[in-house]
Amino acid sequence: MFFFTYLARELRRRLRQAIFIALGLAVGVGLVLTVTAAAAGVRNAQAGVLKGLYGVGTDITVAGKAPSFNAPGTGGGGSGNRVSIQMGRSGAQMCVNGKCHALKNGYTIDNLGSPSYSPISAASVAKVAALHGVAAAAGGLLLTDNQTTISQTPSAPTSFTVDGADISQPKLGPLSDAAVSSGRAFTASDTGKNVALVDKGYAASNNLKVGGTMKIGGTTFTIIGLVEQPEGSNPPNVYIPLARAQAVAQQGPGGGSLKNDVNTIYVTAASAADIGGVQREIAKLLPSAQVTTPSSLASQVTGSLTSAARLADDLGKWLSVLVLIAAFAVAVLLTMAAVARRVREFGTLKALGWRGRRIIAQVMGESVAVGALGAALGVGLGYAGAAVINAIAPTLSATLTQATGLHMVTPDGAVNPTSSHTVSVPLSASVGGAALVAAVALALVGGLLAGAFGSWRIGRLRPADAIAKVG
Amino acid sequence: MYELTGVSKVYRSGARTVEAVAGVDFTVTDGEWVAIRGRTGHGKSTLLNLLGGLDRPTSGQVRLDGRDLGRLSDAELTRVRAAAIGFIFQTFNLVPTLSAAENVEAALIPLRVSGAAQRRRRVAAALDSVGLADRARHLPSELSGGQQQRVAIARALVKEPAVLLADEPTGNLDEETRDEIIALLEKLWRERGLTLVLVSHDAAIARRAQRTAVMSRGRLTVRS
Repeated sequence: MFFFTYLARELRRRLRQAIFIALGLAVGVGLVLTVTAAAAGVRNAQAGVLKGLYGVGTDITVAGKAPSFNAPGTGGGGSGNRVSIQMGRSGAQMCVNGKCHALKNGYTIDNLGSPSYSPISAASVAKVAALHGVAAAAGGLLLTDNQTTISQTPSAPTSFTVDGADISQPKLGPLSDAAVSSGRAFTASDTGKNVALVDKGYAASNNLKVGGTMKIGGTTFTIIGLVEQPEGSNPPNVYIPLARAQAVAQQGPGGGSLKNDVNTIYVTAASAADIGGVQREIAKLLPSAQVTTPSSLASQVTGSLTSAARLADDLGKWLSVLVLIAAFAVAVLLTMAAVARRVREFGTLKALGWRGRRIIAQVMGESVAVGALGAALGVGLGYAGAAVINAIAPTLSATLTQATGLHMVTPDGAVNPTSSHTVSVPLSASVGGAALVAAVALALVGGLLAGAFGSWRIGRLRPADAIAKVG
Repeated sequence: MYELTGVSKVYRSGARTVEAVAGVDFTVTDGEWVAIRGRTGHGKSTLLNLLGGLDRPTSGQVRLDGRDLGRLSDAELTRVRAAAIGFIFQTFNLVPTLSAAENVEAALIPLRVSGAAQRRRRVAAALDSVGLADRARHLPSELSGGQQQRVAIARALVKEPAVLLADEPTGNLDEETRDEIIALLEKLWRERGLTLVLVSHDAAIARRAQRTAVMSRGRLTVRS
């Protein structure tokens, strides 16, 4: 009781100094919390973008490496047949492995292909599922449907993305995070049917409705439902059963079949600790595939979202560290100065028989109390900072670029068209529990540090200093 | 009983050395009141620090009830100060943020007196013995110099020590208050059978002691 009475009286005596130290710590802690909240918001936004592509329950994604394209006429593609469309002065020609066919104006090439990923044998899915540390694995085909209408003026193909989804594994893959907004979801009986789910946004912009039809890879599919993905994600435009996707898709126009292939495998690890080990095992099993985790996929995203991530990671982190160091230094110096002014008081207490560590505990208690005040104020500042970010932060954009797989030769030179998807991502900064605990701990450490430096002087204090003169 | 044998205290500052206490041999019996006089800077307070275990002699022995204070560990010396020795300082040395009662209670903290009620009772008795029962809740800044010194005396006596060491206890007081404080100390000394060693350059105070010793250039000369 005496401990707290003494502590409270001392803090009240130097109230202004205590508040100054607490405010310094609060600014540091508040900044750390704000930056952490912003960084978490950016991470969540990145995760949202990637989640739409790879599914909410996916820890590891295995994808066939992107096929390479060689110059026309040299033969041999990275995978499947090498196909090109040449726009010459004598008209349009579609060339497969160097053999060209004249195409008439108005003719539409509709190809469902896998331009971004090389095929992986469907049998590999079961092998991956059997690996130690793997909870579940599902194969999928991430495809692009390119529809090119031949004309004298070369133009980029219109395209949309198609996900061949394993209906038996609804919790893995891009469809796992989608909610049906109208119509119905896939059922087991849809496995062999030409049915499709369409992204609600894509359906709206292309006037597609439940019960209607659409051409995918030249085959007519019936739309059975519209699905909605979380805001900020970049989902495929259309979902069809994997078996149908394997039947319809080709590895390029006029190219090889994908009947026994997938091009992505979605893997859930048994635990977060298993992710690294599973990633290595899969890399050994499928050396030609690209094995990635959501964190490594984040590097594929460009746009202001990436800039925000860099800003939060670099500038924010270092600014917080600098402010914290300054706050700690101020707290230490002011506490040392306060102890220096109380030398006679502490010497008197030693003369009364107080042990050094009892006096140190008193000073540490005062410092920790100031640190706790700083923590409380800092938490308030952190929440306020996060609220300000949410109020004024502009909506960020994230761009994912994927190859269409077509190699076009025009009189002006070769073109490899790519399709890019830019999505708007609202930044939602929120203070997490772990960050809160860490911030409070930081303020208390600041208080302890200040108390420790002050106590160092007390430890060296001779009781005779109470009298402070040689009589 | 204090027994000092060949006690010296040398302070070093760079190449310069100051012998504040030089070869003092001196005995203070239990219940005795000894006054130590001398001019400023001649070693009176240093000798008092050595008697109180606030400092250690450079050479010689300071024995209190047979225990050589210079050879005790810091922890043992702290225990001796906490239980057996009361200090009174010229500048009172009260903790400015604590009330009169809390300043007195501070002396009981190292003794680990159990029970808040018992501590309050002892504090009240100590303040009553110096005539300040009605000032228990006042801060030092709300008390006169004489009242502050009375609180300091209560703080020294609340633990019921055998020895009371007073360093110029009236040095900061006017003449009338000085007489009141000395009268109080004399009364408490008689009532409690204290061993009282009082340092003062005031001849009037020294005359009231049983024995007077004079410090000059670090050397002690005892007069009866």
